[in-house]
Amino acid sequence: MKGRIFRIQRFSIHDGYGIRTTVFFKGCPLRCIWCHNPESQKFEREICYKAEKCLSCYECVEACERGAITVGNDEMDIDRERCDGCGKCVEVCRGGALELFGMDVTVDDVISVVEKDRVFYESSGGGVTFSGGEPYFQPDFLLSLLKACKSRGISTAVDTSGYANWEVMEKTLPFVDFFLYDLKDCRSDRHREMCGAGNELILSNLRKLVDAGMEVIVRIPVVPGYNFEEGDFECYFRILENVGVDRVDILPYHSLARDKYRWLGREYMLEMPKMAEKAKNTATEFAEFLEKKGLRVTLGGYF
Amino acid sequence: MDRIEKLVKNVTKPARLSIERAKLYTDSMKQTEGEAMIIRHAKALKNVLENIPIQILDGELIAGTMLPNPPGAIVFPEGVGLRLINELDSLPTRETNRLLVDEEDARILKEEIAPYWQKRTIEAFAYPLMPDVMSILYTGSVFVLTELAGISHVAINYPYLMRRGFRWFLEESERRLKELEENGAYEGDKYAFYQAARIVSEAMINYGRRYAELAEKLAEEVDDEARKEELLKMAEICRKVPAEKPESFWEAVQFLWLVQSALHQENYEQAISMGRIDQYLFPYYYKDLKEGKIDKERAFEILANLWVKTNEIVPPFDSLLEQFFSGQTTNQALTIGGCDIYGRDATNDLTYLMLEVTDRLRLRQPNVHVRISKRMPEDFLNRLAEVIASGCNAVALFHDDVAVEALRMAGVSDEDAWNYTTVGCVEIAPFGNSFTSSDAALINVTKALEYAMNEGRDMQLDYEFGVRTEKPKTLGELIENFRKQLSHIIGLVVKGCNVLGYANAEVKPTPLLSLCIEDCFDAGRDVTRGGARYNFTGIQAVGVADVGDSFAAIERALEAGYSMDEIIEACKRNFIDYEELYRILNESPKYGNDDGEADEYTRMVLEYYSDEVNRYRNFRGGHFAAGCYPMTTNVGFGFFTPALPSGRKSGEALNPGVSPSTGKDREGVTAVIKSASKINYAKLPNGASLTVNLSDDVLGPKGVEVVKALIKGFMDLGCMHIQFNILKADVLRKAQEEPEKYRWLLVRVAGWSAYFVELSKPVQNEIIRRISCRI
Repeated sequence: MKGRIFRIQRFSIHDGYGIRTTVFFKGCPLRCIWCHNPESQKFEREICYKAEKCLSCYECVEACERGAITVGNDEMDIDRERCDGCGKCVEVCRGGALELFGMDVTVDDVISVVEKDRVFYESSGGGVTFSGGEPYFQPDFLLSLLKACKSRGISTAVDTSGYANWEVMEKTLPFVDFFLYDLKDCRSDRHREMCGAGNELILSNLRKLVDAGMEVIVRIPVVPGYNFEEGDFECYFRILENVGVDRVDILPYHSLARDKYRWLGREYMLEMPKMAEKAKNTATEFAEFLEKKGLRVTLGGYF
Repeated sequence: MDRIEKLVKNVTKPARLSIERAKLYTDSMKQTEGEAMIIRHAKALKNVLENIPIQILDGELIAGTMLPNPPGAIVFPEGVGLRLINELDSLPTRETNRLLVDEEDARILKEEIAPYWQKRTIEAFAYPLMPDVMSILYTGSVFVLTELAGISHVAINYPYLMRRGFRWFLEESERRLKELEENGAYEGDKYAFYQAARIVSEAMINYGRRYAELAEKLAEEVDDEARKEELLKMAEICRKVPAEKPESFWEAVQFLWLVQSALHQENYEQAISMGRIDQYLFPYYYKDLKEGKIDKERAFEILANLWVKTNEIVPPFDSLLEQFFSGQTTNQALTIGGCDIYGRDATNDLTYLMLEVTDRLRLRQPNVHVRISKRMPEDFLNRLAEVIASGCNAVALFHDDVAVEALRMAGVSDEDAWNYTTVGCVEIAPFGNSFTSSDAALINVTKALEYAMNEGRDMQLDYEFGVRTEKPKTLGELIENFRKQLSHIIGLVVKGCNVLGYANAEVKPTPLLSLCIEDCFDAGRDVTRGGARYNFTGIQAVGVADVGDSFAAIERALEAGYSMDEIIEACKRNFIDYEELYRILNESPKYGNDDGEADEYTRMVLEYYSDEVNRYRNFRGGHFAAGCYPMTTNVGFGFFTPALPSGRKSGEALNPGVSPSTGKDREGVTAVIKSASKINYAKLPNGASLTVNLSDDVLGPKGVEVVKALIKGFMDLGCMHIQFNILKADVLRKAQEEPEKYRWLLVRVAGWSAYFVELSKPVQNEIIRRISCRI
């Protein structure tokens, strides 16, 4: 069995306890407009083009069998519709301007990388985190990976949007040590607008996970003006209280993903002045608010 | 803390060039022409210790300035000190590590001191014996030989000295002289040795007495009652030590410092180290605490004073040496923590206290080396991780089990191996009874690769510095050539070191240093002639990963259909017009990413190196010991090295120690440590440096936990040495723009700490590149 991932990152310290290796799955059912891993959204393999590194040697034009690359004004034009992500252009790129996101790997491929840092999982209380994209978007592959890790005594975490069938999720529970669970918006209508789907399924799954006795750390991105408006602190808190979550990690918006959108030939929707600063302030206020309510709160993934 | 702040402020003043020692030393040498060399040097040292202007600075608890009006640089004309002579005008204004120069001093140096030494230096003696080696040395591209400057690089056996005191040495010398006379003084060299020992012992006693008298005089002049009392106490202490055995903590530290500062009048300022200081000072501390004579705060002040004083001296490097040994540091190492001679944990209260002092002061010196093992208290590990994570870059860690094994393999007994100390930047040595000349040479091993590709010739200069080998067609042939070239270079370096060992014995015996290492005195043999029990000559490999990565890259390029000729030509042309090949080479597996193939090549290169080095015998009756660390020679050597098949371009820095090549580690710090763990440390009895850079932004509040886990993992994996640099890239850039505001910014560079703003520009850029390409 093969699954599709786009990166395995060792020495991850923001995605769970200790020192971890994070496996990023490719493909996500949601389309959050603030997504900072846009390369994770589509399941299809994608070409990323960094114009600043391009040597204009035009080798890629020749290499592309589908004629998806043409010479543009200052840089290369990539027809994303035609591109099938075969990666032939990447092979010939001299400047390292082209990169392919998405590789099909076996469970063994992944485990052989994950195994490398075992000594550091043990010394730090870390392990592996399956993230994405949405890991539950490739449920069988995820389940196999989880089983393989547990059978090797490696601690596991799943970083999920929660937008998945409960049956699929339920099957994995015996092999997951804890969840990083996104709560992207407390209001369903706005959730639909920002992420492409309402939050009902997500909330229902969250409740089921908690009820099943799983350790769940809820992660809330803070994007002021988008998922945080006047009076929302209370709204988020009511959900957390209702479900019975006591552990929250708040992730203030940052603009570092802007380049990635450009490289993927997409439009970045969140260009707003001082957004990062606002997000930081709101996140800090929100953290204080939740702490007062008795929740355990961390900022920026440091736990 | 006021006191300490004032003292810190004093040593961070602009440094001056001090010629007082050179003048007094030279005056004496001029008068003793024709006498036995060891006696002449003893007399010269005595002249310095008895006549050099001395000071007790305001607020000091420990007396003894390394030079008048510190901080500054001392000139050692008998070594390479006079290299500066042509740069005296630019010293006060050069870009980094400026030195203030007095006009009259410059005149004396040029007219009175330099002419005398012209034909009497170590170099003048050695050159005619090996012009071939020297001509390659002068290119600065293949190797550096440091015994040209003298010996130094040794840990002083303070516990041995403190159990005796210099009056004992004085009396014992006289007794042994008498004994020799009764036997007809048939051993002339010993007879001279003990006469020299008598002279320097007397000089040491007088040196202490001068400070006692000064303290008394100052006590009379001072109004402040508390200070008066302190000065009188200091006077009492300096009347006692170093003549007699110290009995209190304060006396012991004062003893140590008078010896340390006196040794710096005899031996040039590199790596005169203090050994296992928390171990040998502990009994004094414990006794004083128990008797209520001292409290923790007082001990802190005394130690802080000692730490500050090690910063009084800076090296007088000229512009060329600046490139190879940038950072103006003197590498006075001290070792804390670790196991006792039976391998049991020996962490004590002073270990904690000394870590605390280091953390609070954050000075360039001393080099604080912490020995660690799995048997250390969890509590100490926590404290250590806290200190490191908070950005105190002045500590480095040594893993006992691995270091001990390397020394055992080199023939050191179990007890002596467990009692190892650190010397200089990353070297290890049996404490107190060894002279390991631990930084005798550094070798650019990429030159062996260059010669292997180019029939024994330098690609840029076209000199035939290597041996002639056939142009290789296959990787196997290239590796075979590389071995031949490497053996050839090591052969030259060994010859160079041994001739210089002989030159030092003939031209620059060190009678005071010979009292400070066990066995020399008993044997009546100078340390330069092999008086110590263990004698090594440590030589370091620089650029091992660049060579390993090159082999891995060539393998890929050959697979892709390129010929060896094309690869060699591409290197000669710095990859111009070879973009495609360059991409293949550059993207091939690299050491530092936990990639089995690339790591194996680097391990192999270092094994060739160490097997070859370790088999040679040295002048002092011991043998050579391989090490792997660069100081900043990786930048200096790199400047003279053409493009390499690894994708490293011409002129770029080489990889430092067992750390990956700059920017080539893409998998994060755990992968770097994993790669480094594959090195065979048992064959590196002179130490190996691994520097790990972590961005403060990334660590955030998780820093302590992560550092602690990395340290534990590092031990589990069996690495030897690690140092953390916790830095922010943007801070470094700001520091480059406004150096004045960032004088405090301490970084670790391959084994030692330096103030960032005092590093040369290329080294600064190298550090920024290293930091900013991490996640």
